[in-house]
Amino acid sequence: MRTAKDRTAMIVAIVAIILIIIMGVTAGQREGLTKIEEWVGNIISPVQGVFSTGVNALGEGFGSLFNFSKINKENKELKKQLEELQSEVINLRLERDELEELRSLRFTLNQFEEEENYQSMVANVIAKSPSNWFNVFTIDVGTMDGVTKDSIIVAANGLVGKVYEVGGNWAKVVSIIDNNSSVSFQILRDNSIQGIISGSISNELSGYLFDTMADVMIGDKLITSGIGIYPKGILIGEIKGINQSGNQLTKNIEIEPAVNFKRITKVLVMKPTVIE
Amino acid sequence: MKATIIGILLIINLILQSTLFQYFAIFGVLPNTALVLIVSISIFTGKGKGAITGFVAGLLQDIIFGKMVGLNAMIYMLIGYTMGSINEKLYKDNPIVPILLTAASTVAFETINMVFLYLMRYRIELFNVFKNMLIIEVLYNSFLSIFIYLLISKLYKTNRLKKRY
Repeated sequence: MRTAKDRTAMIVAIVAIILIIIMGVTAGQREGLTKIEEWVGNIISPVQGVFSTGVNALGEGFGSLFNFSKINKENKELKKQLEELQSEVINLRLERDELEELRSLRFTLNQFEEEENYQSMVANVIAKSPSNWFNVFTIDVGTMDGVTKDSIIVAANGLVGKVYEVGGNWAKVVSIIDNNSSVSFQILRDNSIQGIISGSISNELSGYLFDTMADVMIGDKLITSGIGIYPKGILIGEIKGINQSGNQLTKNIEIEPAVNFKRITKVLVMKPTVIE
Repeated sequence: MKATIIGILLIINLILQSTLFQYFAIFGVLPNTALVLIVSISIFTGKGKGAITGFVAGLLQDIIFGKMVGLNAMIYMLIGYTMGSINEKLYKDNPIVPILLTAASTVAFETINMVFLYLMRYRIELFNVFKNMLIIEVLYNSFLSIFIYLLISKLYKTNRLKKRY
């Protein structure tokens, strides 16, 4: 009896130590997944995909039942917005023509092209992490569709995150509101004001500005600055709070992300194409 | 036979947790039904099987969603082992038992998690963890444990009866 008891304890202890070692190895940046992980993911992901489409459809159905008056109101607002946008489109078209002209001028002047090419494709979110610590979700495209590690994930209205690990027909995405992710940004209105934002456990975005004297205000829109893996010019969100510390040493901001991370079902995967 | 049922239960739980239960977050906090399941199963099976159950459930979650492999597997295994090793001293029909044990293991789970994430150089905001996560999660898990414990106890009681006759 005594030896049997000791044996279980021993096995548990040894396995725990082995797991800690595995943790240490897998915690850093890895090149790819092991065969076992890929295999498990390939089997479970399709099932999750079927489940989540069903659940999402159900959720939307229920939501629209209860929010009928809200949808009506939203419809009116959207129509109004559409009119405004249409007039804006016309203005932008004029500006675009001008921009193209200037671009062709630059080309003739032999300036170097700094544009990067990205190929994009649509993906479904199939499952979200059950853990309260991380904001990780899986999507239904993988190496078979040409997704690589560090591909950029965007939604219709802003930046979502990046691909962390890729399996055969699935990929793990870490969102920008995750505990340990950070993005360098600039203010849309004035691109000389830059800083870094990071996520937190409570899934709120907060960050700081490099220049503590910079003039920012609530409602300013943030876009990616192009430093790091994210390409320049993707909308992140807008400032909803500014805290200046008493000694003027830091200027912290709170950000309302442009994407609603709770209701995310479809995303765009942007994979960098290699220019040969 | 029982092992197959438990295995299927764990996989179904993971799928539900990652899809359906996302809609049932309270103040942004998700219930950890995997933990509740492991506690309930370990109370009935004992430490060896409890540890194995925890290990399998944790490893599955690590592979699909983890940023590193082994963290959940290790904590779930230790909790399964501990809960299983006190199972002989418990009066299993008392509904307070699963509630208290679930609450205790939720606190243990999050504390060990926090220590390891701290060692992995993650940013831990201690105050936010307590305020935004731990209290709600403990209450939520304890509440759910009543139903999950009943389900698991049914599974084991019917099997025990079958054996007797």
